[in-house]
Amino acid sequence: MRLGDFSVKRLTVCALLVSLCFVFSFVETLIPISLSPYGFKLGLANIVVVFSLYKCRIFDTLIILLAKILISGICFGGPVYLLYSLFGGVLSFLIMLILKNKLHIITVSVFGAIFFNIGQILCACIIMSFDIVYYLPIMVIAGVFTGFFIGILANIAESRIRV
Amino acid sequence: MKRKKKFSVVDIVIVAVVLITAFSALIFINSLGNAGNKVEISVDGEVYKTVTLKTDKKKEIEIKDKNGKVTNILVLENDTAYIKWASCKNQDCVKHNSISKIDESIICLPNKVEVRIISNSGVEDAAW
Repeated sequence: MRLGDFSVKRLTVCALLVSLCFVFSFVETLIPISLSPYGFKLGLANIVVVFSLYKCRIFDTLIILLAKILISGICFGGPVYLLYSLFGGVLSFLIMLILKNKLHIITVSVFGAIFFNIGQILCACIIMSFDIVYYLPIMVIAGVFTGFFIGILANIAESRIRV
Repeated sequence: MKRKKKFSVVDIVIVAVVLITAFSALIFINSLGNAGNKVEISVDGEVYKTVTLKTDKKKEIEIKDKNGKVTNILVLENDTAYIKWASCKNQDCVKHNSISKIDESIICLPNKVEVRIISNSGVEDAAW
């Protein structure tokens, strides 16, 4: 993993993917239905993260992920939301990194989504109260379904787009 | 980048195991969760009594004002609460549907009685 020598191509690909994340985050706010009273959402921008996990270097993926969290947190969430996503994002990134070459891209995406939610809940536990842990099962189930959906889309993108 | 090309049996099994575990945990928690819900009765802004919503059999609670006069009768039945009788004229609270979910309330304005469903934990205040 080399951090230096960003070639123009590498830089452009990263910038492109970050802006794609932003677009996806915005498109998501246009969908008026919230999927449940618990307020979880699809996380379309995670298509880009899963995609870049397979196509870019590890360092670049991390940068894209952090940029995505920062941008969508500032524009569409709030400071608390930002903190939750940061926690969840980093946890899901680590899990996806471990599972990357062991499992299929869809399963990796499912685990990414599950651990994103688990990370958020852990963060909420630390900030507020431990009682929030009761939301864990419903969040895991939600993560399986959204992760599966995201995984299918990322799979299509991954197999057709050449970086 | 090398990666697995097929969505194999291993993937299906792993996802299924996670789903089943989560579902059973959900069912387990739901069986616990409701028991903690309570009914808070306040008269004239002050908490008069807090009772558990869950009862095995029908239970009636008399709500009295400061002079000890019964103003309303609250009934707890099938994990819901409703007001059976009120001393006032308009009977709005008696006509009100029964309540069971957190933060639902029945208010009797003439008697300054408020019946509200609360929960033991502060989870519902979570800002998602």
